[in-house]
Amino acid sequence: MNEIKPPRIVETAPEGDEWIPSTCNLCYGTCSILVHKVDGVAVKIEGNPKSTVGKGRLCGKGVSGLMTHYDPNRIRRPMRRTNPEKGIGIDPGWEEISWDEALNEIAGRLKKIRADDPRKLSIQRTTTVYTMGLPWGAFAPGFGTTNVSEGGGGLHCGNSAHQISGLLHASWGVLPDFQYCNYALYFGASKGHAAGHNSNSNMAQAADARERGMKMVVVDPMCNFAAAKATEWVPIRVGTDAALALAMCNVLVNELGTLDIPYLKAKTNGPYLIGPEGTYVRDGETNEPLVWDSKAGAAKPHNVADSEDMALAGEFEVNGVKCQPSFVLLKEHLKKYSPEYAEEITTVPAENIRRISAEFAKEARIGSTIVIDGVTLPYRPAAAIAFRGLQGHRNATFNFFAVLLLNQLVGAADVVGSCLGFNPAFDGIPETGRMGYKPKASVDGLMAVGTWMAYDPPYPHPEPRKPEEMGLQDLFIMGMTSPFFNSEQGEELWEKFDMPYRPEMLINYGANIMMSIANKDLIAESLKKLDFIASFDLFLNETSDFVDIILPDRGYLGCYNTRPNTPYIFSHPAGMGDWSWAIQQPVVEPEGEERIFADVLIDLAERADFLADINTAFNAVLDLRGEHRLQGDRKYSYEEICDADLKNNFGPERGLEYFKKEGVVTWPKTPEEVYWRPFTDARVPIYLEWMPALGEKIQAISGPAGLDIPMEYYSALVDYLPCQSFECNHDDFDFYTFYYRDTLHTNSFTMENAWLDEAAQLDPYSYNIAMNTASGKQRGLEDGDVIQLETEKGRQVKGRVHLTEAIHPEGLGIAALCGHWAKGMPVAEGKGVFYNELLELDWENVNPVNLTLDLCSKVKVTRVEESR
Amino acid sequence: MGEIPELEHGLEPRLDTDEDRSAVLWYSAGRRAADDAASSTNSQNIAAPEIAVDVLLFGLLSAVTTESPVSLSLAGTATPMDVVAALEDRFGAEPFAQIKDPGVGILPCCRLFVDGEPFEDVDAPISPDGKSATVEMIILKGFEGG
Amino acid sequence: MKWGMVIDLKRCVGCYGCQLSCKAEHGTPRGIFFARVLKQEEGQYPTVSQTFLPVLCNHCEDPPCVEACPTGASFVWEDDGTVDIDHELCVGCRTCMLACPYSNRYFNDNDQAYYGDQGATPYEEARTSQHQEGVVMKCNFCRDRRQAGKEPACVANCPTVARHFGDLDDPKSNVSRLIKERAGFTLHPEKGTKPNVYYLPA
Repeated sequence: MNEIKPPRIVETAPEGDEWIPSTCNLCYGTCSILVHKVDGVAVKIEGNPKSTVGKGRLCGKGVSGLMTHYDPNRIRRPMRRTNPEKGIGIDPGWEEISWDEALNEIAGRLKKIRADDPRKLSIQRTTTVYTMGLPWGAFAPGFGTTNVSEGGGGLHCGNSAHQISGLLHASWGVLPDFQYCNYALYFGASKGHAAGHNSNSNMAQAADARERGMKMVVVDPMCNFAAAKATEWVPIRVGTDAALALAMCNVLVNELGTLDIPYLKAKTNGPYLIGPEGTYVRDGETNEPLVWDSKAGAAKPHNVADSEDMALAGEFEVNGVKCQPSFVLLKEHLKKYSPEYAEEITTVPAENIRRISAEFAKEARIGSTIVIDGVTLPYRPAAAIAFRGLQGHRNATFNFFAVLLLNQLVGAADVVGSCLGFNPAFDGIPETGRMGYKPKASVDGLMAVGTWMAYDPPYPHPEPRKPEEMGLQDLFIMGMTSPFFNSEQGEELWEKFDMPYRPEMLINYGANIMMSIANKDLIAESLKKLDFIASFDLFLNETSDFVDIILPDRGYLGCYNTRPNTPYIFSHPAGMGDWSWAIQQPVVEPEGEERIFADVLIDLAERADFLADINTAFNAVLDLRGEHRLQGDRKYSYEEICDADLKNNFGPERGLEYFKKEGVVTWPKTPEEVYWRPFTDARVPIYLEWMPALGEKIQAISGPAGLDIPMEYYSALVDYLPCQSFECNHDDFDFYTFYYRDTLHTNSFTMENAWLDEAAQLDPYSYNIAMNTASGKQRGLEDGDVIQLETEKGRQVKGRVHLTEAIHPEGLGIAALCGHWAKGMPVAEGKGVFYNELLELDWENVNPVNLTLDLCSKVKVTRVEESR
Repeated sequence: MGEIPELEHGLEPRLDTDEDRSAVLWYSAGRRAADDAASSTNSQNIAAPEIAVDVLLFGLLSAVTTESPVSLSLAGTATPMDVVAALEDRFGAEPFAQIKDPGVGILPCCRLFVDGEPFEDVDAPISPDGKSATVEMIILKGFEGG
Repeated sequence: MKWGMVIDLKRCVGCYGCQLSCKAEHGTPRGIFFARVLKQEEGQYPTVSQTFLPVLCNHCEDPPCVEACPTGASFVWEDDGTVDIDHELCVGCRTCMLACPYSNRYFNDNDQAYYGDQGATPYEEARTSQHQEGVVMKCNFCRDRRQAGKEPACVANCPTVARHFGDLDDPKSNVSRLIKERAGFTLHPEKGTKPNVYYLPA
């Protein structure tokens, strides 16, 4: 019998036949790939088995990359508009121009703006190739603008998910420790089921876990992806997850009493004493929060008392002030979330809430330990996780926090089998020790992240100030992204706050913000107001209608990136296994005049006279040291910078040439890196003590400007707060719409890929509106009817209904961001439903803490055409 | 409801509900940290003569002045906070408001390099050996989620 | 020996990796997917389940398609039991397509380029153009890859490691073992075709 081996680089390949290692970018999962090239043509993309990112296997999107690369509709030359009129569907009258002409015009404008006020330049990037951000990370600060946004901060960003994962797990997101978890509770997440961060490796790990017997309970309005593979699907009314999670917390705390008391004492702010004002009672000398030391019978600063002796219960008097441990306040607060109360809100039967809570508590095996690679560690094989789904609501922050609180109560956080952050601790590259990071104690003993994807970490946060950033994140300092960056309401808010400048120019990199934020009209108005837009793109899309100069990008098969998978908190397998460091390199020659965007940015910096600044920014962003630092105003190619970055981290022997050949470097993780929590003396908040004060500080600035902060969102104890769509009570508006990520599509980008489009057309859900069969029949609808959804404000979308048993009777599920209308994407045009058209983009529909946009709407359904 | 089924997970946990075996693991890091704190001693600042500090401002901060470098004469014990204070004295406080924070001193988005090396502790002397120093400053902001 | 495949429905999450890696491997024209994923819903709200069922040519031991083929184009490789089509002999009568109870045979009469009038892409010139038009096409368990010592594309690529490939004649092979241990089953056994593609229950 022939021995079948996994695919690998063919070392004795014939001339003109090679396998080139690089990185996939059909989504931000950034799996390591091998591209098979024969006589200059890329003929196949496979996973790179040498890497732990993807483990040599790719999803349907990843294997289809060549259809995007060779799409004849790709932009191949720089172009300038000839029609000055900008508007939806108005032909810009593109004419081809030379790179020189394009760059001189852009640089001329940059120079002028930079001399005036560099903040008048805004930058949008797509989340699809999020990890390709390093050149932008240098260009923007080098130029001097603080206004950079990802896809407009709308639908594609896990704003609250990242913020709260950072606060509680020092990472960008969370997932179950698939290798050891026995009971995973999912809320609006599909980790391990073909979407999101580290999509491919998670799929294999989740499948192993299922085969091993991991029970998975999935709370979701729709039974697709994760729920389809679950042991139990828990259908929930759209947007009410916090009510369910808090009821489960209540069962754990007040009905079952199954709590990891030592964990709560040592690793949370549960023992911190809270005075009558709701704030920490502090030590007169050190100002550190006090705890009650039961052994000493006295209050002591948290960093002086032994955790074991800290009281979690009781009422005390310290310096004449009555106070209680914050855990007592949480315990009392949770009482209002009885399973019966939660049933009314969520439609999940109280009996099920109690049962699932009890299962979770039992499977957490509080008190147990296990030995991994010779290290004794706490063993908590239960995890509650969440992601984009539940945090796409006005109550985003609390929704996410409420779910992760379940783990805190049973000590199931970053230990064996538990809820894990994506790699919050990393000891560094073995040979050089560089790039390492780990969570550490910060202000008031609470945990600060070891590394972060943005420059303002989730904790401690800076003081809010009168906003001078377009997205207002300097006022709403918990906001990582802001939908007000490119919206009509943005202008209203800027006026309110007396912003000292207005954006004049936008440089866009691959984002299609006409589709990615909310309804198109509001975005169109904001784009029209800009004097000038330059855009790096692959296709002429909906946003291109407003662009002045289009620049052809080489796409992911033509770019360099030295850090597609780092920092590891973003998209790298969690749990035990290996670390992999891969690169991205050009594998094919451009078909036309496409250029590497990073080199174009450096060209622009040269032409606009800020090379020294971009060099310094590269030094800072890449932390280049010694001989690897970029010098003065010398012009470097991005290839040289990549070489410097790699040698700076891996030593002189392993620069770009080494990585171009090897593709990836891999080495094993240690238990102390993966299960870092017991080794780190830092606490996480179960009581958000600083939030009310933060709310008041923001109100002090925003109130006089005419914007009042609803203070219930700034409570120290998290709550269920209903979405704006719940305010709509007209009888005929009786469905809650929700958006979900499809396995076949990434954002609004992949519908132009002919293979993915074809597969999506064959899929019963991808391009249709999912509606519960009974709900549909009740309204006289048949499967395949074309229906119109209309919001109270009159926003409408049409689509074909797919009647299914696998959805909550009140929910309407719409996949991906389809419904393209741009002529430059003919494959995508007219396919599927443009979900965002239903969404408002205003203060009433964002989370008042971090500006996450609410993605649900309440709609009236009418039939417009019978099924074919 | 019925019994929760026992799951097959191929692992033998050390389970003991009477004696919480994991408790000692939770408490251990705090104890180690307390021991470390007890054994550390405070260092003393020694008065040093003035030093010449060249400051290079990049990106958004480069708009503050056309002077490059900005030459300052500071106490030998000068910290990044002192550098910023000196810049404020010369160019006014307003341009530097965006990098300062009452809680954390200088915001983490403002990166400082002293003689080409990144410098993080905003309260530490930039030149412990009393020699002249070059300070580079750039604001890294505008990078957000995905 | 007899090549066979085992698809573990417990592991499959319906990511379409098989369907599209197969297309990428063979460059099949529009409308032709040697490997596909079907989605099936069972039960009523709220006790509903969704099954993802990946399908491909079953390489049957008693293949009705081979029996039905009037020209001898459809045949079974004696050395490994796989069912294949000799395109030199195929006249495109499509009798085999009617005979296949699994609808896993395709007639190549669509546009050979996905972008129609815009012409074939360099990839399509390299891959799709090798296919003969006006003939029936189907999965051959990636004969070329096997000859190069590789697993079929859908097996090697499956992100959930749900697909296994091996010798069904060897009782110790991974596939034989999995079928025995996990109660492997075939699709439509009542048709009497004796498929060599097995499924493990979800």
